[in-house]
Amino acid sequence: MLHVGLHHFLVLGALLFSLGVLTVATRRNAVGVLMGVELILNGANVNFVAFNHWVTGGISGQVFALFVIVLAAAEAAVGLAIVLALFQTFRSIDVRTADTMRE
Amino acid sequence: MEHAHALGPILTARAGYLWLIPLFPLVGAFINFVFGWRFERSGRKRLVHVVGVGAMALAFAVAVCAFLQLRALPDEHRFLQDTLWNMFTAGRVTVDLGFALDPLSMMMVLIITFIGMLIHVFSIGYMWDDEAKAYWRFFGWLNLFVFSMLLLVMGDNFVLMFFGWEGVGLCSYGLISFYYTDREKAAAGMKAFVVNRFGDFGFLAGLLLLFWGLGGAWAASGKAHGPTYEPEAALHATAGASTAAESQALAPTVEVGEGQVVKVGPTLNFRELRDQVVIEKTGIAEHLKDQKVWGFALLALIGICLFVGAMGKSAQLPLYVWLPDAMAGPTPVSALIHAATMVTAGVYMVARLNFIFALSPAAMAWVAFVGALTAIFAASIGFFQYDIKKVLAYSTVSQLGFMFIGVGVGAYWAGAYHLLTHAFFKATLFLGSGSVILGCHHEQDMRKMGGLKKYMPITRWTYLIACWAIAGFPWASGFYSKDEILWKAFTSEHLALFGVPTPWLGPAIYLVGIIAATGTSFYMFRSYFMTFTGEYRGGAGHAHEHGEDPHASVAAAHHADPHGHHDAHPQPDPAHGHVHAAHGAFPHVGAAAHDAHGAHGGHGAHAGLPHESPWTITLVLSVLAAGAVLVSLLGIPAAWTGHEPLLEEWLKPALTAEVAFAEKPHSWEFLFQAIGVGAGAVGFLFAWLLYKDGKSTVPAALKQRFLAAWTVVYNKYYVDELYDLVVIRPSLAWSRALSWFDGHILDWLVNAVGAVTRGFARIDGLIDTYVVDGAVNAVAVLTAEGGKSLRRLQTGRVQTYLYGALAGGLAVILLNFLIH
Repeated sequence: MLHVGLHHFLVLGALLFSLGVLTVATRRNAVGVLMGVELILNGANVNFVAFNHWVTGGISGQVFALFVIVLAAAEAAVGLAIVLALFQTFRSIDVRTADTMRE
Repeated sequence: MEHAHALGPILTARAGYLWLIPLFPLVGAFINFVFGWRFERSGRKRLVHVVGVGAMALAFAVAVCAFLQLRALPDEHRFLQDTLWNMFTAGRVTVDLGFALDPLSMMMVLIITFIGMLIHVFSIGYMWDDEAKAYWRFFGWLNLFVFSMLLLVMGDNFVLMFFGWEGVGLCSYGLISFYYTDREKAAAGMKAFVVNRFGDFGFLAGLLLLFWGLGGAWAASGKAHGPTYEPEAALHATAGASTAAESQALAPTVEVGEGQVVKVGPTLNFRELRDQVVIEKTGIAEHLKDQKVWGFALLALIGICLFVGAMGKSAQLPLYVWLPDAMAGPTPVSALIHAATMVTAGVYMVARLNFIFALSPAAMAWVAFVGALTAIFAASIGFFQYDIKKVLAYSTVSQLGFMFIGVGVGAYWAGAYHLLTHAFFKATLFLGSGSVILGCHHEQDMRKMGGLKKYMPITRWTYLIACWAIAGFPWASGFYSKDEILWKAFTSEHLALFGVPTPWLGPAIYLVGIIAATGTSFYMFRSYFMTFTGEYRGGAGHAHEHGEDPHASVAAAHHADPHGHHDAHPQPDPAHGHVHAAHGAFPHVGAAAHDAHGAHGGHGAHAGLPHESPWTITLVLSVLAAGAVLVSLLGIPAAWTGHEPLLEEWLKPALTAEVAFAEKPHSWEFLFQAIGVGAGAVGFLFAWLLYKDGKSTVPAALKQRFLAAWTVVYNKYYVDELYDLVVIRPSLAWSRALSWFDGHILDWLVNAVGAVTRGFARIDGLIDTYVVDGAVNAVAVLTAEGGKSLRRLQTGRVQTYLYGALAGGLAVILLNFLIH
C-alpha cells in the first residue's frame, strides 16, 4: 500500500527546485528563465505546505505559501517587464545578449 | 737698570676729543673714495683736494689743541687718554679702542698732520694734470694713509698699533702701485708689500713673545722673593671674565706704594706694559730678564724680533730693498710715506718700547749695529745713482740707519729728534725733486738736468737748505740730531752684541757713522750740483724726441729768458693751480709757435725748458725748508747752552729708560761736532769739485779707473739679484714643486676618491634600477596581470554568476557533510 508521507512531498519539492534551478541555469530564453524561477518558488511552496501539514500544524505554512504565490505573481510581472525592456534594448530576449556589464 | 729716581705709574688726563684726529682723514678718505670720481667727472675736481686738504687741516688743528693741553700739564702727568669702547676681552686681557698721547706720540702726530697737510697741498699742484686721471684715488689713499699712520702712533695698545702698521703698509702698496697699468710699478708695490710681510712676522713674533713672557702669577706683595711663574695658576685666574670690568677685577695687581696699584701680567696696553716694567717694585723687569727661550735670553729675542718688524717698515738691512723700488709711486707719496712718516714707524716703535729694549743690551746692540751698517751701505749706493729719486731713497734708508743708531745706543730722544728733523729736510728734498721732475717734464735722470737754478729759484734754494740740513752743517737741523746721535754712539758703553759686553762697538759705530755722514754730504751735494748748477742738459734730448715739433727750436731760441717760455703756456686756467710770476711783463714771443704745440695738451708733453712750479708747490717747499732750519731750535745741545735740549726735556716723560753713557767733558763734544762739520765739509768739497758745473771729467775718469767697483755699487751691490737667487728662485722652485705635488699627487688622490665613489654610485644605481625598481614593478605587474586574468570571470551574464552561486552552495553543503 502506497502511503504518501512527508518524504514524498520533500522529494517532489526537491525535484521541482532542482528542475527550476536547471531551467534558470540553462535556458537562454528570458521567459524560460522566469518560468524556472516559478518552479523554484513552487518547490519551496511544496516544502512549506508539507512541513505545515506533517510537522508544525496550524496555518502558518499555508499562509507562507500563499505569500510566496503572491510574491511569485509580482515577480513574474516585474520579470516580464524586465524582459520587455530587455527586448526593447537588445531586440532579443536571449539572456546572453544582455552582457554589457561584462568587465 | 739704575734709575736716578723711582718712577711711578703714569697719571693720565682725559681728552675726549682725541678720536677726532684720525677721524677727519678717515672721513676724507671715505668721501674721496666713494664720491671722488663723481666730483671729478662732473667737473668739480676741486672738491677732491678741498676734502683731502681740509681733512688734514682739521686733524692738524685738533692735534694742536691736544698739544696745548698736553703742554699745560705738569711733566709726569703728560699723558692724554681717550678710550672710546672696549673692543674685546679675553681672560685678563682687555683691548680698548683707545687713543693715547704722550710727548713722543704727540711729536709724531704733529709731524704726521703738519707735514701730511703740506704734502697734501703740494699734491694739488703735482697731481692735477696727472696722466693716471685718478685725482680722487690719490687723495683718498693719501688720507687713508694718514688715518692709518695716526692709528699707529695714537693707539694705546698693540692691537691698534698693529692695525695702523698694516694699514700704512696697505696704503703704501696702493700708492706705490698708483700707476698700476705699468707692470713694473705695480710689481714695486707688491714687492713693498711682500717684504714688509716678512718684517711684520717678526713684529708679531716679538709681540707674542713679550705677551707670553709677561705671563705668570704674582703675589700681591710684589717682589718679596721675586715673582713665581705659575702658568697654571694664571690660567685658573683667567676663567670667567667676560666684560672689561670683570677682567680688570681678575687681573693681578701689585701695590707700589702710596695707594698706587699697578696691574701686572700679560697686557697689550702700552701704559700698563710700561708701568709694570718700569716700576721696579713689581719685579716684572727681573722676571723678564731671567727668562730664557731655548737657551736665548727672552728679552734679547723679543727685542730682535720687534726690530725685525722695524727693519721691514723702516727699510733696514736686509729688508730695505723695497724702499728704492717704492719710488715708482708719485713723488708726494715718496715724500710723505717713504721719507717723513711711515718708514719712521719702526724707529717710533723702538722708541715707544724703550723700556723693553733698555733691558736687553744685546737687542740694543743689534739695533745700533744694523742701523750703522745700513747707514753706510745705503749711503755708498747713493753715490752713483743717476735717478734723483733713487738718490733720495737710498739717502732715506741711510738716515733711517742713523735713527736706529740713536735708538739702539739708548739715545732715544736723539733718534726721535733725527726722525723729526729728517721728516722736514727729507720731505723738502723729495718735494723739491718732485718740483724738479715736474719742471723738467717728468724727467728723473740727473744727467738730463743741470743749471736749473736759473729756472727754478725757489726750488733751488729750498733744496739747497735741505741739503745743508742733511749734510750736517750747523744752524740747520740735521747737524744737531746727527751729531747728538753720533756723540751718544761714541760714549755708549753698555752694548753687548751676542750678550757679551762689547764696549768697542760704540766707537766703531761712531766711525762708521761719520763715514756715512761724509758720504751723505757727498751724494746730497752731488745731486744738488748735478741738478741745479752748470748748463741745462735736458734740452737736447727733448728736442730730439720732439724733433718734428717747431716749438722745441723756438723755445731753445729763448734760452736766456725762461719767462718767454712761460708766456708760451696756454693761459693758466684758474683751477690748474699754476701761477706764472711776472707773467704779463714779457712780450709774448713764443705764443704763435706754442699754439701749434697746444694740441699736446698739458705740460707733461712739453718740450723745451724747465719752469718753476706753481705756487702751491713753492709755498710748501718754503715752509718745509724753513721748518728744516727752525726745528734745530728744539735740539741745541747742552754743551752750547748749558740747558738740556727742548725736545729732550719734552720727550723725557715718554722715554723713561735711562741708559748709562760715559761721562765726557763738553770740550770733547765740541771736538766731535767739529769732526762732524768737517765730515760734511769734506763731502761737500768732493761733490763741488767733481760736479759743480757738470764739466769736470774727473768723475768719468774715476769711473773708468775703478770700473769694477763702480759697477758693483751702481748695481746696488747686486742685492736684488742676490734676493732673486736666494729667496725668489728657491721659493718659486718650491712653489713649482708644490704645484706639481698638488697637480699630480693630490689631484690624483682626489680623482681616485672620485672614481671610487663613482663606481660605488654606479653599483648602487644598478641595484636601484634592477632590484628595488624591479620589486616595485613586479608587484605592479603581478597585480595588473592578476586583474587582467581575473576580469575574464566577469562575463556579465547572469547565468555564469548563478553557476558560481550554485557551486558555492554545493561547496558549503559538501563541506557541511565532510565536517560532520
